[in-house]
Amino acid sequence: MHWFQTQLTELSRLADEYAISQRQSSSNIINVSEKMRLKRAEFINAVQTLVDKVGKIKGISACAAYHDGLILAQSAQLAAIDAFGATVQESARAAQQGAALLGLGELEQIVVVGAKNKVAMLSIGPLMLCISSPKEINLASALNRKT
Amino acid sequence: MSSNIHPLDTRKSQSGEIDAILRNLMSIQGVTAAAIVDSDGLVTHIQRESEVNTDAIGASVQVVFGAAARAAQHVGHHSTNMVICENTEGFILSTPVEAGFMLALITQRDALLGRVRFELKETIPVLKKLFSHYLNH
Amino acid sequence: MPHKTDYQIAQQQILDGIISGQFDIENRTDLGPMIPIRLFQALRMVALGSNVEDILGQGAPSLVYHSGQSLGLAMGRLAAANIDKDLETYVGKIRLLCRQLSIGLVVPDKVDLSAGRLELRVDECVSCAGIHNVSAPICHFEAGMVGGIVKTFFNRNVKATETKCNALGDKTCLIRVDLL
Repeated sequence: MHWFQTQLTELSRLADEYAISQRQSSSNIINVSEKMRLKRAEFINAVQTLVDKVGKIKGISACAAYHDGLILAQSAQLAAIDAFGATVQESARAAQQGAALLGLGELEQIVVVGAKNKVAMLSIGPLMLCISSPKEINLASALNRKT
Repeated sequence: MSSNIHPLDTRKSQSGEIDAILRNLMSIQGVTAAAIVDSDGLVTHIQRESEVNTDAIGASVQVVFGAAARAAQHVGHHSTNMVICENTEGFILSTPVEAGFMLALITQRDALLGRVRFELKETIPVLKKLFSHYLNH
Repeated sequence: MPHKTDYQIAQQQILDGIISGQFDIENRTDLGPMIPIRLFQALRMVALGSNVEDILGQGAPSLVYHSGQSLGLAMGRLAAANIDKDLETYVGKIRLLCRQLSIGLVVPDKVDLSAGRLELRVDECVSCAGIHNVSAPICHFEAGMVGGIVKTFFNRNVKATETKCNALGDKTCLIRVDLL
């Protein structure tokens, strides 16, 4: 499995673990609360680490993670951070409707390609990971060159 | 006007998990204070980087949230889950917990709003359970 | 020096008047300094009550409590002067001040400093006298005021809660203050 795919699998696993911790019975609320906090921190820290690593890959302009269209983690200061977030939310909404209509299953990826640049959005648990690059970059190979 | 009686043993709840939750919120980039405010605007728990006027901030949080919730009702938005004040130097976010208690976060401008909001949203269900546990025991 | 708003200027003059103990007031030579209690109650329960509640919803009690606390802090500063931290003298001065201002008859009911708890009765409470059939205590202003008074003396944060209210049929208003 390629590097980036491994990272996504790991993030999905952490997101699942966090979701499981949320569903625990609340007989001991203090223990449950602490476990949830730790699992959430593990997941979010992993997201931030991946965002930082992807942002440094040659050919990648920026990487960021969003929750409900609001910035959650970023590789560097993005100039149009809010526009980025709005695009994520709008694209996700349209794609989810389309996916439902066509029976595609749960949304995994969206790619928007412009004349100059492109943005890939990947769904990870409750978050969207966004990667932007110049149009001509082959994202799959750029991301998998990281070792 | 609602009752200001809440049989919360503040000493009991000051220990442990509520403070741990506030400390966790403080660890997010840009967050400078995290507080629990009761229905009278009294700050019952707080973690902060520097001195803040707890009386004033507690009352203001309740008043701002109350006004926002009223405005939401006027336009048919029903219950209010969070109020975000965007200011020149940062954000103030407030979220209802239980029985009039509120969780308030104060951040600097460089805080990542989605990160703070996500953490708040995920924290509230647990805080609700903790408070309901304390209020009922 | 930050610019004072007109309300802050008026507040300063009112608190200065209370602190000076001079209750005669200029421009009221014929009508005098006293007003009917219903007018005060209209300001308290309508202007600072239902009208504020219309705008602030659940934020209203907090605003009223905070307002009462501001008055309590000012009264506390006045009473705390030159008493060498003596609680009995302090309470005596507060009782006198509350009587002079017709706020109510303040009576310490229980004082347990080791438990960090005080209970003060406000008999003939100005806010709720003659008001009946409410579903919960309504004297948030007096609770805040008592909280401010206690806070000033002990120089500690406090939580004041009205546990009995004349308007509930309790014959008195009882305010419990927990030192935090």
